[in-house]
Amino acid sequence: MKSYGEIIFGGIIVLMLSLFIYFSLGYKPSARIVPLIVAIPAFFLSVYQLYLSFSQEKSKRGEDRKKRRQDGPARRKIILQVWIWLIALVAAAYFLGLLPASLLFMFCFLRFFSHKSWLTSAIASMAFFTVIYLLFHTLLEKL
Amino acid sequence: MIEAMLGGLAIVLSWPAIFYMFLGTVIGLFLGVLPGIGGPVILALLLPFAFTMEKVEALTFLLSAHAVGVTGGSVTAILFGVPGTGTNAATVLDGYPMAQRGEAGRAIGAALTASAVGGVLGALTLGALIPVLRPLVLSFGPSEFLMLSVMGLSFLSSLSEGDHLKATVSGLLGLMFSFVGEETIMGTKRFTFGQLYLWEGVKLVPAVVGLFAVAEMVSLLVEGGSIAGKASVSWRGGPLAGAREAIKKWWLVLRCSIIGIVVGIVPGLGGDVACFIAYGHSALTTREKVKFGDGNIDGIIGPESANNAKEGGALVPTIGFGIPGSAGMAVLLGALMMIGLTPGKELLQSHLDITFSLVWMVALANILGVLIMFLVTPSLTRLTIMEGSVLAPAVLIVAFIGSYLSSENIGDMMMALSIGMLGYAMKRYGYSRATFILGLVLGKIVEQNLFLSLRIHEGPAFLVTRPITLFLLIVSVLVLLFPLYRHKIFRKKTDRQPPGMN
Amino acid sequence: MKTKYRFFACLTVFLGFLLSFSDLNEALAKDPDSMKAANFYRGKVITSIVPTKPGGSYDIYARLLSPFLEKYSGAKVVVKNISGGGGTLGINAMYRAKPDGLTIGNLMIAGTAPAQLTGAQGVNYDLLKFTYLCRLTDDPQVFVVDPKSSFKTLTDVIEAKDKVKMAATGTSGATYIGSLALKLGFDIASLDIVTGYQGGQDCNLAVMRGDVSGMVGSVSGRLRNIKDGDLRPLVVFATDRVPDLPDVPTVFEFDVKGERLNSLKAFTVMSDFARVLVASPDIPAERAEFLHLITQKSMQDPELAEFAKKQRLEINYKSGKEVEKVIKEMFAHPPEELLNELKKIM
Repeated sequence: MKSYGEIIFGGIIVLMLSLFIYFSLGYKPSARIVPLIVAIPAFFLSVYQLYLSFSQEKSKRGEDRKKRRQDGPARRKIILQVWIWLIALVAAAYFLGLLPASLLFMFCFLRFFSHKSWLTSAIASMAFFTVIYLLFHTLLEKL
Repeated sequence: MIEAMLGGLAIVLSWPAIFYMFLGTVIGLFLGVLPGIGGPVILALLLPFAFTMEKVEALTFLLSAHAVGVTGGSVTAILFGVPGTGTNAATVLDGYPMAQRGEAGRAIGAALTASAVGGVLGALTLGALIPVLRPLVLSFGPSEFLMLSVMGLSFLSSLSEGDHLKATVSGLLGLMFSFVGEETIMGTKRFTFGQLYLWEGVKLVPAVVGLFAVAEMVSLLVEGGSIAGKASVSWRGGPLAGAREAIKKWWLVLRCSIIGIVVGIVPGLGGDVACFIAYGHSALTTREKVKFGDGNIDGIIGPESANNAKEGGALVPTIGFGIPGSAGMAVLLGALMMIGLTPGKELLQSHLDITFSLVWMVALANILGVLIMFLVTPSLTRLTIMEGSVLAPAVLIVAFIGSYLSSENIGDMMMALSIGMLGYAMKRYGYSRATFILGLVLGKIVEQNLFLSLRIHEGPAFLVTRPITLFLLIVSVLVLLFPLYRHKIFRKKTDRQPPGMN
Repeated sequence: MKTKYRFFACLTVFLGFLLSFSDLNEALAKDPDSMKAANFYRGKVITSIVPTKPGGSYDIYARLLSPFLEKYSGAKVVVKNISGGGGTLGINAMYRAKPDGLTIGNLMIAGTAPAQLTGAQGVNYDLLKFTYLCRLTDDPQVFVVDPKSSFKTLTDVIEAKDKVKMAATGTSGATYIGSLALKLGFDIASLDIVTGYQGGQDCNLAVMRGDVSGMVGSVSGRLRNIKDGDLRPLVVFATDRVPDLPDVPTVFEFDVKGERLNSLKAFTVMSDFARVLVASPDIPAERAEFLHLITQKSMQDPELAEFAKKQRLEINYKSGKEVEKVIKEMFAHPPEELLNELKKIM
């Protein structure tokens, strides 16, 4: 439900700005003046935007019913899955290093998310990895 | 002077310089295409190799690679919605929608042509300004930098097609994010929560990778299918038509090149703003019917002229004073000194031919780069038909590697991921990512120059006493309010045309 | 049939995965011999940490030196850039590295000594514990002013009635500490340090533009402008006159005593030992000896001198022992007044 998501995100923005204001108050005057000049109006604008999203959601209830069926829970499941994969990639890079993580990620993603066959996943990921390895490890020596 | 110009050309066209220019161009294009790897990262990656080369070869190699990175990056920006370089970010906004409509060829043709023209103009400007280099750079001080960055921010209003409120919120949010890190005047660490890594703040490369590469690829994975979707990818006739349009709109190309050059000349303005200012400017002056953000070709032509021109402009303070005009120039400066060429009066007076050879290098590399890209692009375009669930992980990995390489810190990857989540939400709920980046790049610069100006001139009087500053201030106000009276101006113009011409 | 393919596919990927760990690569190529230092280093990889992004001067020196270190050690030297926290991240990494003698680092005393002595945030190293290999070069600092100004000598500045504005980058940089040392050393009450400039070169421009009256920075970074007549040098922070600026007096040629002299001395030492090569603390004695030896050989290699000259880089070797002595001395008698001033702004 896009409109619920919009309200939540609007709320997150309001939260972020409040945190910025909160922490700014703890810094010495010269360090906090410009951030506060920016954050305080931003906070009020974001609250107003949140209110608008809220009232729009209420008034558009009926029209959006068709749209909502497309934006269903299945879609949300995919969105969540993709982000979990990405978090896993960064975590793997942190613990194993970028190169091993790249190969592992490519292989697993192709197999378990894109549902390619074991063979295809293996070949594609090895080919991709070879290029990355040659470029970033052998040639550029950065990884 | 003429001898120096011809001498410079001779240096560039001689063997082995010309080989290294070719090599540098190809490598620069390739690295530029890789998402997240561009600008200063390209030079940083190639510097170790240049170390082992001879003087002129090393310089040709590095400068050519650097000059065309942004050209290569425009192709990925259009095809995948992933800017190859930070300065290609604006190109994504209208380039990617065009690719999604199957108009990738036309978009790329326009982008490459605009890049070539902008790049050559930028190089020529450097050449033309050489006599007045020093007084020019000396007349721009902190108060002028302040006004230039404020002017950049004033384009915020023109970047927000449609939902002005949301765009303003994201712009202000970008400004807040720019304040993260070590404050420039007194060294206060703000919003860093004890993390040493955050002292440098939200870095641009991870931010761009997150906002665009990550957000777009995640969208692709969620939507499914391929980039071009059901639209048929037409290649034949596409790029040439685009190239023709870019040439027809030469006035826009010229104006945006000037924007790029000015941004490049001003050291420390953050060259990546050039594309957004140009984008905003194109948005203000476009005659096309298509809405900006839905695939308006002006949204490609403008930024792409600006970002190539910017590199020529950035050479101005670099060569004239040894002050890097952009982040990439900082590395190039190291390279210049490494091979024994110290920028400054000496380079300009006793080695004028070498200075001109640099101008030629940038100009020729740009043209060469564009020609090579025209040849290579058909194969790249086919990738838009490739299945998203196979393409996306590859692009994501390269993008994350790109964000890591900028300062070899794993934290950059985490930042790219976090900003990616933000970017995805922004894209989904209609918050402008362009204004966010504008704020992110300019926020700290405005603050820094504001405090410096107040300190140096001991008060806010400089706003009206310094002529350049005052001029820029007025322009900023005009730009900021432009959307309000734009309709009046354009209505007048369309009234003059006979009916049926629109 | 399908299961066999599946198995081999996974196996290939797994092997690739294992091989991607570069440590493993190196391990497979390792010489499984004795622990004698020279044998130890043959075929190994020495990491040379640079605490800044690529392209900076520390980076260039590291890359200049590495082929020579490779030549004399038999090991491969890889330059690794760890930037962030104003260099602190990289230096912390040098300190934390495994004490096996395979990690060396390039650091600057001016950036680190004051930070440690004032207890700055994020400092997780102890300069007293590093294994000092050598000094690469010194980096004398000079006080320059706008040639259009009325300041012809240092005395003019000391006696100035109006505010003398100085340009500086950040409060932890050499430009700031230098200006502070100047102010305290010569008791110039009217000296006003304007911080916030982007880099040393930006400070040059500020002086040339007339926005400020002067700045303190490295000779190498100002020499070009001085020779062009755009900056006027008034005094250098060095024990002997700088060859490039023979007519410019040193700070020690003036009559300064006591704590004020201490401030000047401290800053001079910091710029004297600007670029220092270290190894991580507590490495085995024979390996430290070996590193000292190869460093000395590399620095005194005539080919290095030629290469450096071609790239206009100064080389001025001093042994690790000398560096260590100076560091110990600085920590034993820290410049109190200077440090107090620095602590005030923290």
